[in-house]
Formats: sequence, C-alpha cells, structure tokens
Amino acid sequence: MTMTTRTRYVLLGGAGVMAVGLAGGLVAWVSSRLPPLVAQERPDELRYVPPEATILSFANVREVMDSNLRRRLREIQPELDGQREFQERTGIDLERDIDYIVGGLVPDGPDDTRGIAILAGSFDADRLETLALEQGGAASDYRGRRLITIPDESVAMAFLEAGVIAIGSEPLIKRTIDLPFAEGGVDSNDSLMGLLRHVERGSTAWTIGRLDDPRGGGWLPDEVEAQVSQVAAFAAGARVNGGVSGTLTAEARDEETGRNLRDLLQGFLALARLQVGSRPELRGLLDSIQLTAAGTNVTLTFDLPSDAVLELLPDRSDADVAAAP
Amino acid sequence: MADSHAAPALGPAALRVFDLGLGQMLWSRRTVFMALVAGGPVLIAVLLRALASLPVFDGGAGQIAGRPVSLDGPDIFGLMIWTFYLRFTVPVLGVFYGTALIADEVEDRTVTYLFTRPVARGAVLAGKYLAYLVCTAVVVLPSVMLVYFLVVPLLGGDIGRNFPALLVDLGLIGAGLAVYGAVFGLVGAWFRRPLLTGLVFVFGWEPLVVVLPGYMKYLSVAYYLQGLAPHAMPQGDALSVIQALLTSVQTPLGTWANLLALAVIWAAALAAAMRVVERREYVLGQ
Repeated sequence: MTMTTRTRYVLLGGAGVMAVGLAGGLVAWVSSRLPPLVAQERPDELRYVPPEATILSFANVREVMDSNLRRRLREIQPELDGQREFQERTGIDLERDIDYIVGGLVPDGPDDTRGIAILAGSFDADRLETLALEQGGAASDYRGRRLITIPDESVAMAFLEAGVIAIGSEPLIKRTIDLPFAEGGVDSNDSLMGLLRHVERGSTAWTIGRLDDPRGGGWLPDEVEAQVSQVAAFAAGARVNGGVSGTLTAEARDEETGRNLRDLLQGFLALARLQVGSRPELRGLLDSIQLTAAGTNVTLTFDLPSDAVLELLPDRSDADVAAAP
Repeated sequence: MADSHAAPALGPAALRVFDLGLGQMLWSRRTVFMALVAGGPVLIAVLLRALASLPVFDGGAGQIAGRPVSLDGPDIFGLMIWTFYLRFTVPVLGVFYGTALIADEVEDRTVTYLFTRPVARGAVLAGKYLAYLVCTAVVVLPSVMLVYFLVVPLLGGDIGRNFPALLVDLGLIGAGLAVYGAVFGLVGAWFRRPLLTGLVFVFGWEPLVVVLPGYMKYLSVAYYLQGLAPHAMPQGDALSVIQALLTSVQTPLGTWANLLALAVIWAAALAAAMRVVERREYVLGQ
C-alpha cells in the first residue's frame, strides 16, 4: 500500500470515531434491554404470585402516601374513597400499614380469572385475625402459615411471613403458600416479566399484562376484549411525586396493527382536543400526552403537574354541599 | 512459470487504483466542501446542545419552559438524518465525487496515463469508485455518529433504545453513497457536462418526481431510500404537517423491494459505467 501517513491518520480517526460510537451505543442498547432486574426492581413478593399470572401489578403505597401530591390531596380530601370501610373490615390502615402491594390475575379455567393481592408492610397479625374471626371467619394452619377464611365472601387471608399477607380466594392462597416450595413464582415467567423493560426504572406503580395468552381471558368485558384483540401485551408505569408522569406501551400483534393502533389513538386524541373546549381541566392532560410508535410498540406518555391532577378531581366542596342534609 | 508481465486481474488492479486514488481524493479541494457539508449538522447539533442547557429546558424530558412538547431527541435526529443527510449530503457528495471519477482525469488530461497502464479500464473506474466510497464514508459516517450522541439524549431521548435505528441510518447512508456514487459515476463516464447533469438530477428531477403521482418516481434513487427511512415521525400538531409532507413521498413498496431496487440500480449503474469507460474514446480538448 502506498497510502501516506496523513491519509492513514484520517482513516484511523474516522474508524476510531465509528468504533467508539458503535461500542458506546451497543453498551447503551444492551443496558436498555437487560432483564427487568435492572430495568425495574422486582419486589421479593413476586415469588408468591403463581407463574401463570397474565396480569401483574405493583404499587409502592408508601411512596404515594408520602408524596407531595398526596399531601396536597389530603388538604382537599383527607380520606380516600372507601378507605375507612376497608379499615373497618380488614383492620388495615392504608395510610400507615402498607408499604407496597403486588397484585396478580391468575387464570382459573378457560374463561375465568382470580385475583390475588400480596401486601407488604407493618401489620398487627393478632388484631387482623381477631377482626376476621369477629366477621365470621375461620382460622386454621396451612403449611405452618396462619390461614383465615371468610366463607360468606369466598375470601381468604394468609400471613405468609412477618409483614407480608396475601388476600384472595382460598385455593389461590393455598397455592401461593405452596409456591416457594414448588415451581417458584411469577418472576420465573420471562414472557410476562420481560414487559417490565417498557416500565421506567423507579416507577411508583406499574402494571404489565399479556393479552395474547389463551389462558388469560375472561377478566375483560366482551366489548373491550373485542377492541383489544389485536394487542398482544401492555405495560403501564407511573411515577408519583410533585405530579404524575407515566407511560403506557401496547405491543401490537404485528407492525401493521401497531400502525393502525397508533392512527386510532392519534384520532382519539385529535377528537378529544376538538372537544376539550367544554372541559378546560382536561386541556393540561391532553397537552401533555405524546404518542410514539416503533415497530409493533405504541407508547403513550404523559406528565401532569400536581395542579393539573387536582383540577381533574371532582369538586369536593360541591359534593360535600350536595351530601349535606 | 507464470508470466510476470501479465496484466493484473480486475480486483487487484482496482485495489491498486484505489490505493493511489484514495490519497488524491482525500486531499483534494473537494474534501473541504465535504467537510463543510458533513460538519454542518455537527455544528447544528452542538448548538442544539447549547440551547438545551438554557434554563427554559429545565423542566426535563418533553418540556420547554414548563410546556410539554411533542418532540424529543430521537425525533430531532430523525429529522436531521432525513433532511441533512439523506436528502442533501448523500446525493450532493454522490454528484460531486461520482461525476469526477473519470471526468476529472479527462479535464486534467491525465486519463491517457491511466488508460495506457496495463490494467483494464474498468478497473480504473472501480478503483476510483472504491476510493470515493471510503473517502466519503470516513467523513460522513463519523459525522452522523457525533450528531447521534449530541442530539438523541435531548428532551429525554435514550441513546440505548434508539441504537438499532442508528445502525439502520448508517446503513441507509452507506447505501445512498454507494448507489448515488455508482449512478453519477456512470453520468461522469457518459455525459459531456456530468456535474450539471448530476445537479439537475438531484435538485430538479428527484424532488419533483417523488411527489408527483404516477410511476416516474421509480426512476429516482431518493424514492427507494426514503422508503427505507425508519423513523417514527413525531405526532405533534405542527410537526404532523412536516410528517404529512415527508410521508407523502414514502413508498408503498416493502423493505425488501426497496433494497432490491437499490441493489439493482447500484449494480446496473456500476456495470454500465465500467462498460462505458471500457468502450468510449475520450477526446482530450485543447
């Protein structure tokens, strides 16, 4: 080769920039696709959710309750709807007792699903048991765990470990107690857990679900099920702090469906923007929504400051006046 | 015993011409023009980064001055790839370098020296074409890479998630340089005023036919390249107009059909250019 030194330098310089850029991009890409263990922390309690679950949710209740948004909300609405009733029936104070909740929908036969909720926090087990027994419940032991069933409501509660309780149907709760000794929990379901890559790390709450699992039908109303039949999976995540920001990603069955879904959502958004004149409180929400599509994925993101969230709430003063005798 | 004076085969001969031609091409005045064309987007990207550091961008991802915007770094990068590179830099470099592969030698009256060497005439064109590809790729592709790392992180963009799209963009730009270079290599070997012909093709013919209804668009390179551009364009109100303008020229052909069309154009143009150079008698003017 008769190439001069400076020509070699130029070639090496160009190749160097490309090599460094490609290596850096590759590392960033691999990092963005690492298993959900890195993309989104997995709570330990996932091991109590059966692996065949088709919908999985997580909510960091402590973070929500301590957030600025909740503090501002408390000034307007000191108690959440149904909060007192829930506490009277279960003995659990939503504001103080629960750190986080893991929930799942598990197929039960071809056309039915059952739900389970795993609550982690600080619970007074004796008081919860006494309250359940007062409401007609029956206490027993199953594999060394205290199991309380309330036959009238087909609901059972089990103390899985210190600070962790499960609520659901009795067969499902028993299955949950069996899981750590048997095949393991939902965190071994790569197809479902892989959807966590769409959820931003550190999200306060998230829900992921596979809609293309033939075992998972039955929980959606028929009309909705027909509408979402082309969606294979979804992932939604939200971060609550000063306001609420979040993403909702839908995985279509193929790229063409993905494009159609994006067009459909774009049409809905355009229609909503046209009609927002009569609901000015919705303008902030609509302005913050962004829609993007890549391959089979359609992603909708939003970011609402706390003022906009509070505007979306029903006017409590009117409600209180209406409810007053 | 092998004949040590036998003419080298096409491949080795082309590599020899490439070796000589690369240095000439890289240190010619055209390189200054190429540096400007490839450096412009980098400069704009640096300006965008500087703008992004202003207080109005403090709202974080997807916000400017506290107001949500439907545009982020990957969208801006997609627009830059489309407008600066695929619709300007690639065809313009193809014109300036491609038409000069043979025309410069004719103009400088050095073509005689090349054609009297014991190498096939087609190898001369092939070698110089290879030199053009390396010369432009070594400047344009790093420029794209720098723009990517400067622009994509803006407004909440993610370098990792958009990396596959960058690879597609680099491939598209490489394919564009190859196909435009081959086409204008043919123009340079065939036409008397190749630069003018090339500029008319790039700035007159292609922009016109790709937006006209009918089949004329199949006689362009831009049509197939744009059909391969992968970027999901932004969905905002104002930008939807740009999207409508850009997508109106998108091809209904599939990815493989576009790739096949580009491959056919490239192979046909390069083979035709080599054939023209082999057969044509270049008459040097006074």
